[in-house]
Amino acid sequence: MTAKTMLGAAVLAALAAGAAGAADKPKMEKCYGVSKAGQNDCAAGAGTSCAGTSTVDYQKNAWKLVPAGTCTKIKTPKGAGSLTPA
Amino acid sequence: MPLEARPAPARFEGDFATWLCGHGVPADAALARAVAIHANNALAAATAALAGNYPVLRAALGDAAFAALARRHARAHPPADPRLCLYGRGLPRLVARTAELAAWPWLADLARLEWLVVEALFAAPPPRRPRRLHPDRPWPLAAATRWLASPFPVNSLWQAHQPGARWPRRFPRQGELALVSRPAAGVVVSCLPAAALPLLLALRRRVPLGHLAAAELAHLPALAAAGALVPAIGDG
Amino acid sequence: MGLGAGIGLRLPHLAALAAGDPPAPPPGLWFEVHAENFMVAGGPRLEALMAVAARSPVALHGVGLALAGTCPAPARHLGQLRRLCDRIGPVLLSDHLAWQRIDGGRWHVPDFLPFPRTRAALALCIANVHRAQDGLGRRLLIENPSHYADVGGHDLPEHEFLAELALASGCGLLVDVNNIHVSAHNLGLDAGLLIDCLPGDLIGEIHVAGHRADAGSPLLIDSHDAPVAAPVWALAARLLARIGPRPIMVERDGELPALADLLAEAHQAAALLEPAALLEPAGAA
Repeated sequence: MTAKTMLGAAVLAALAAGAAGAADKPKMEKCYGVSKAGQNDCAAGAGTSCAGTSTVDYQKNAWKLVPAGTCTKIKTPKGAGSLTPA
Repeated sequence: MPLEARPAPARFEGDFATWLCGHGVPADAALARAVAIHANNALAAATAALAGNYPVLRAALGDAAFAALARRHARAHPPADPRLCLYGRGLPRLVARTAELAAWPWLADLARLEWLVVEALFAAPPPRRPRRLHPDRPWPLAAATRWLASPFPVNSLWQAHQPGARWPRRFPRQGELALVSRPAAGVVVSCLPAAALPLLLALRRRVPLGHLAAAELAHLPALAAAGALVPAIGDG
Repeated sequence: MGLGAGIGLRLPHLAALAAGDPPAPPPGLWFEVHAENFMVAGGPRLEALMAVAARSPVALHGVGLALAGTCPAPARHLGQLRRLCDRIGPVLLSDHLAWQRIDGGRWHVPDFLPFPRTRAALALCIANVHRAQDGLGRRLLIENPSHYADVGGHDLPEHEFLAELALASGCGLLVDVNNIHVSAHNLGLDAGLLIDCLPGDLIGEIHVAGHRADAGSPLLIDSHDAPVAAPVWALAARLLARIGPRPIMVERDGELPALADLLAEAHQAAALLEPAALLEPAGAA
């Protein structure tokens, strides 16, 4: 069954009004992450504070990838690190 | 220097590129130091861009682990476009493939959601003129609209990392359908019922409104209210 | 009035300036942004810049044209920059004398790479600037880079290379005084002499910025994360006293201070444009 018969003018108007209302409710706070997403201005300007120095050993990748952030702290029924898929 | 000793630009670029990649070092110590500075600049700019585009992943991993991941990505897939605000599309794939992160299987989807937020942030604005809705015509998705259906509660995880958000006592056990939209000036992430996915797919296929199933149509008001559709006016 | 002193407009200050003019601006205040941050289809960032540009002069400073390389920015990039110019109406448009693209453009190095200033390189730059200006439909200003070592093999000193490039291509020059200070220090050259050699009538814009000492070497790094240093102010005054007033801009990217602090530095820059300062520059013998 399709919805064609249900879509009277009044329904369409109500749907459109719902969409128009979205623009009146800016939820700016929600859009930004732990720091604002996409706020990497310096990255576009080479030779800026993103600059390294001659001393950083850029050729080595000695850093071990050991998570120490919130992903290790998320508790689930199966213990840390095992959010169960449905 | 005699003219023939002058390096042709292509030849010089080739040598310099080799040094930048760390596949060799120029004989001159001062030049080697300069190469190190440029290589550091390049790597720092690329990893800073990744940190800017993946703030939640960074919080989830911690600064040191994120930096290690970002370096791996920047070396394997350096930026090809100077618009670094759009750099890092491939990072979720690296997260999914990284053995050290296998214990946190939801991280890749969390990263995918963050990339969708970036895409939404820079997408084209909706048309100024509202669309007149009609059962024979589709209601287009706004250019910024994205979604991610995940077996993990990606929306809850993302929301928990936002400034001022309360950390939940526990996260939902079931997956979530996260909607990314840009209703006004900012990007919003919200959660839709899993049953709304067929509607999103139908809208992407530009199915006319009148051909939507009743079960699909039921989710249309939520999408409209989230600003996921282009502005519209009804017939009435 | 014409363009006086400007500041680099960075994202943390964008929303505030989109909402209204700053208090007590220096005369002829203008703003410069990195073009690539706004070469996007839409969104709040671009809309905020358009709001600023509707009220104040905005300059676009490109960081991606790669004009000194065998692989300059592709036509797609020029098209994006042109669309941004159409939206913003920049009062000045600039990019750098550097190459950036490796492996046929598969790697765009987000930095400004040095090269031997040979006649062949000059011909390449002239062709690239011609192509870019044709594609953009606008005149470019080309900025002198910072040097951390002498790559050697030059046919021309930098000021002659820049002058020939400008005369042959019709572009103008953006003189970054901090880059000259940093380069002179790093290469053991006389910064004052380098300033005095620059072809004044080709200069369309001046940058001043901060730098810092490298942690592990005697080099200075062009870091843009500190206030403008005294020797850089003195060099700028020396240049302006010789060539007359030009739009001058305080370029700050890292450790970004409050807008009021940046405007205070812009006031300092604006003072260099006053007739009295132009007649008797600071530090003049």
